[in-house]
Amino acid sequence: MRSEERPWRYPLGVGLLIVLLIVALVLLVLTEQNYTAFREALQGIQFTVSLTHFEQLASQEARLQWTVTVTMPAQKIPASLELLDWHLYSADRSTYLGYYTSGDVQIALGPNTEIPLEAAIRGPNFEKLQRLQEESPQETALLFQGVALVMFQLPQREERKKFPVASVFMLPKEGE
Amino acid sequence: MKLLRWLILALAAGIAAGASSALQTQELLDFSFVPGNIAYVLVALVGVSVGLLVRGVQEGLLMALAITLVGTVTLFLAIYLPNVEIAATAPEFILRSVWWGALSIFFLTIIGMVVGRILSGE
Repeated sequence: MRSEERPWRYPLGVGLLIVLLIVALVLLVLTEQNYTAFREALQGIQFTVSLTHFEQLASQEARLQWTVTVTMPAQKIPASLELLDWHLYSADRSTYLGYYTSGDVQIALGPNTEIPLEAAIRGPNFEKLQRLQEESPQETALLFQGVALVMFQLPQREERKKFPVASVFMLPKEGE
Repeated sequence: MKLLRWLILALAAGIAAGASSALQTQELLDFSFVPGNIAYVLVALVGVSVGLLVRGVQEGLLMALAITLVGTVTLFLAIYLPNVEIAATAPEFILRSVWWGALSIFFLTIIGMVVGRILSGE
């Protein structure tokens, strides 16, 4: 059988090639956009920590509340914060005030997401905090140093990345 | 005129094969909306479409080589352009993907062409 006997051969070949060219280029452009957005998110994600509340309770306990603001540059890749662990130190890192965690959370991250955190300082850590406050003539500078686990939902799988979160904040004197 | 048509065909098929092959590379696979084996199917389909358009073994082989050449350049650009910094420090990661992509484009195009020739009745 000769090829000339099949008139559909040429239009089918050209049509299929045009469709494949369009499909491949569209898929590649979308893939590259996802890839670029992910890399921009990795490079541009920012965490800022601010103390919102400090309370010293009578029962040898201090309660601290912070707001962690997560700023994401690109929102093409859905992302969520899974876990935030942090350590508290004096600003010069000479005094360790304990390890705290948000526990397993699932907070969807938008362009600006505020995450409330809380820690109760008790026992020996509370005594160390009191000592620091007594030594400081005015406000006490403390260091918040933690790690945030962020999960990115990529088209083919989930990617988990850890980001450092650090900030120095001032603890007001009791009664201020 | 025939040469121009041949060159346009090689260019279009090469870009389609290279772009499809880029979807299965280690760098881009996680970000693609299609799994890696669909990317290979797309490359083979490019071979099928070209198989419907070329005549003779010699022309087919020449076309497969031209598609591989254009496809490899397309694939290289698709991986290199968003990874200029990585390519400067660790070019072996990109070259490994390009080498594998070029091989798969060549052989899948040939296989697709054979299927295309069978479909066209030769």
